[in-house]
Amino acid sequence: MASAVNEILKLGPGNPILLRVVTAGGKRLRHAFTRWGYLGLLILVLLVALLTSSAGEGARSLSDLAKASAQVFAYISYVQLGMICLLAPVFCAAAITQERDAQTYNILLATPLTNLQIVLGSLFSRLYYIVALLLSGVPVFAITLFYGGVTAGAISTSFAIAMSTAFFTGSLAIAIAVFRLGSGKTVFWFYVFNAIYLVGIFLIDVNISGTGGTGPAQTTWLTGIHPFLALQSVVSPSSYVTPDPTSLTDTWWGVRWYLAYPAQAYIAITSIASLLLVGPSAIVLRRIAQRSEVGLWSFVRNILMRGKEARGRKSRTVWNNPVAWREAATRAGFSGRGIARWTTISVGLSAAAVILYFYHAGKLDVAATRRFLMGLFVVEFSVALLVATNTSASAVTRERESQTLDLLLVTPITSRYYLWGKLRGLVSFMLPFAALPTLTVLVVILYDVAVGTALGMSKETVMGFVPPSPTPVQLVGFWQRFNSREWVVWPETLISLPLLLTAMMAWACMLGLQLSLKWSKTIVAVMASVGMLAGICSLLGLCGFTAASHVKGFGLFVAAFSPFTAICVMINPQEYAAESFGATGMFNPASTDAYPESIGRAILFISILMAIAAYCLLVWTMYRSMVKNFDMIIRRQHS
Amino acid sequence: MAVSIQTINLTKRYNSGGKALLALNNLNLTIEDGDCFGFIGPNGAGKSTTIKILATLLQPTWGEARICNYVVGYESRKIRPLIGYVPDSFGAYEDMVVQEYLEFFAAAYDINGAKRKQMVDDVLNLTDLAYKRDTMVDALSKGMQQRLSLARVLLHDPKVLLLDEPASGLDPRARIEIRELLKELKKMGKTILISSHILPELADLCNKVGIIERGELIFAGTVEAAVRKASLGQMLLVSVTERTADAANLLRQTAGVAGVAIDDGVMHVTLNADVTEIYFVAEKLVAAGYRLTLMREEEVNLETAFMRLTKGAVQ
Repeated sequence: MASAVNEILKLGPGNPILLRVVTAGGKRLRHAFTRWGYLGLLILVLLVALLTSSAGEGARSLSDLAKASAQVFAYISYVQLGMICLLAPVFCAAAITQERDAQTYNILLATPLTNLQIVLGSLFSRLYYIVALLLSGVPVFAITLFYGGVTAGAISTSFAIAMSTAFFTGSLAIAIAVFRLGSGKTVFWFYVFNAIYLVGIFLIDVNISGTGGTGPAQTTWLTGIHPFLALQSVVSPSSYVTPDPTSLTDTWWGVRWYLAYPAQAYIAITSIASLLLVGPSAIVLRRIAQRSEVGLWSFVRNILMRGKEARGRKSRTVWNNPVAWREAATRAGFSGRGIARWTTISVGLSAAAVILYFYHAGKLDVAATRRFLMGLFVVEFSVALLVATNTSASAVTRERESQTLDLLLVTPITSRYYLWGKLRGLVSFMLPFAALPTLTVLVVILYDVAVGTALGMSKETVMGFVPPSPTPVQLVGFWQRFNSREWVVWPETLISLPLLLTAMMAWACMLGLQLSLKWSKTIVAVMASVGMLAGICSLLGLCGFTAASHVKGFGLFVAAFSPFTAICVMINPQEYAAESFGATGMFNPASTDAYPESIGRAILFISILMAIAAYCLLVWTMYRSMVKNFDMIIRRQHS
Repeated sequence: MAVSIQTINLTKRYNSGGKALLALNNLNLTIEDGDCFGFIGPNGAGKSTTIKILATLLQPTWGEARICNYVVGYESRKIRPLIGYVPDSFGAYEDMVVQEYLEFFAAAYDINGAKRKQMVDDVLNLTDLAYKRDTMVDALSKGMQQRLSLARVLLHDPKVLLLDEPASGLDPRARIEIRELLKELKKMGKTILISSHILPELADLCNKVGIIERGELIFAGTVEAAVRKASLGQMLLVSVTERTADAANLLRQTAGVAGVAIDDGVMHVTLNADVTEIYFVAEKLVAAGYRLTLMREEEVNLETAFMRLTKGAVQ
């Protein structure tokens, strides 16, 4: 009896793997600092939201306080969920590290612990950190409850969404480790997949939910599979309305429940999916470990390459700067990373082609096309920044881990040469990512120039459906049409966008490189640089988006310095710089007492060029600082 | 003869978790041109630290290290083209074949164009790796990886080779191949500083050895001198047909005998350092009625010298 109880306890609180992590993690100052930092961030959001709300201006009534409280609750719920999405790769990283550290793994497999105990121990030990983080935010949520305007049910649902997201990502990481699907790069692909999934689903939902029209938006069938949309249905029930179950009586009860209670549906779906991942992992854990040490991906790759890659291949020409060659050539080769890069680019181009086709077919109007293009660019830019940061953050640490850094340091290569080589190679590797949105913009602009109002061609002619008219194109009045037509994307974007993307990517590379130099482990360097990048972009975005949408003229200047705001304003100025280019904006020709649109466009263009110059200067300063401190940092690490 | 490597009061202190760890303590070492110097010591004795300082990877806390009269730290840029460093582990770049690996490092030494191709071909031939030029570096066996490491350090034709346990973890065949390769390099006039735990091979390869313990050099000189020093107070292996314990007691009371230990029925008789003749041991035992079945001098080689000269102490 005692033995049975003991075995059951080992599935949960008595699990030795969990106990080891809890006892060791509890003593770590770094973990405590992270929790304090997280709580500090929530308190900061709370204070800022209260101060900037109407209640902060002198608490007029209980109703005002309740409204402010509801707003604060929404903010911190989003921050909480965002943190979970950002920390999800950490789960993955820990799982992959354990998987790679075969000796520890094998020792664990050789113990009398059952498969389920090992899987649950690994899962709970990863969830422990996140649960501790979530629980540290409870006092902040309690404050919003105290002010009113928020129900305990809404708070618990918000927590449940965050917890189920964490549970799902943890289970996914475990499954990846057990089925040996992952490697060190899995962390990165977690981010990429997260970015594409979250932004992509959100954009589709925006277009089908009725956002932007009159009246509140309705939840859609996508709400139940998207954490932020599910959360939105909880924190903003009046602006993102769930359908009344009675209006869905003609649908099957399961579908009715899914559509009427999307937040609960999300929690249920992720929980079931987590169990579906944990179950098979527990069943096959030892069987897979016994069968092979080789990962599934390596196995498939070996079959595809018929073992040629593993045996060898013809050597490539090494550049005179070997460090740059290493970064640019070997990472972009026919390796997992190279395939991933070209897959991302192909998917991006295909998505652009689909958007253009829908625009051409008249299924998307100009505003919707802009919105989709902007979403596509935001995803592409997010991916590019993540790739840049991930690649650069691992540039030095990987050399350190594979013990090749010492081999280079004893050669006559100087720190300046080494770092310049790294930067040059990284930028070469990243250029196709910058070229992708640029190419998309070029195609859209060419289409815009060619179609209808610009050159007098019909859409069918441009797409090749109908031969061109024998009548020569009327160039008379071309410039009038060129200037007066409603562009999907302004032509000057073709100059400013690639320059901005390249400068931003160089900056992301420098940031990653700097942290790669500072930290000795790749995982830590990648997490730190992605965290910093996300923090900086969020902060700049907060200022940029607020300025662009609320400040006339000067808002454009501020927006140019925030990477994501700059892209949004460049592609979709009517929505993201409403005070300047919106329906009543100061540069909108339709608006009364408006300035010419060209002035606004010139301000935006010049501001972006100034931002590019500022980022280039920043990159140069960071580079100089790294060159100066390189020897000192490396020596300190050796000592 | 010119000096290739010299350390003067070389001291290195590490900070480990707030505690200072003295890795090297006033190490004075001189290695002349063309020497093959074997660096011996227990784990943690300071061998790798010394080699890393000489390879310009570490700064000494105190003292000075010189390579071809250039001071490490101040003139490191002049030193780097003169040295070839092989660390104790093979640094493998992923997704690189052997030819690319060597070309990569040749480019790092600013060897470009046709000269680079020629140098890579030469070292591949020298290390007998030419047939592996298109093989992935991480797919090579450990022995081949070590040969590739040696090929790498030969690309720029350095004067001094710093080899940190190049034979560690190799099978007997690979060890022999590496040893033969090092003999070739020795013949080419390279100055070699090699640390290893495989002492018989060092004795075969090196003309000089240094024994280091707890960061201090306790012996430096030729292999013969090391053996000679260790032989002072030689040891005899003696066995008798019966009453071994009584025989041992008898010898302990005999003048000239420093000590007797019994191991598996054989007496290990340590003689005083001033004893030059050993026949009195046999005389004493025979006179007491014992019948001898074995009496021979224990063979003193580098291994026994190392064991006698060191205390087995580590940091």
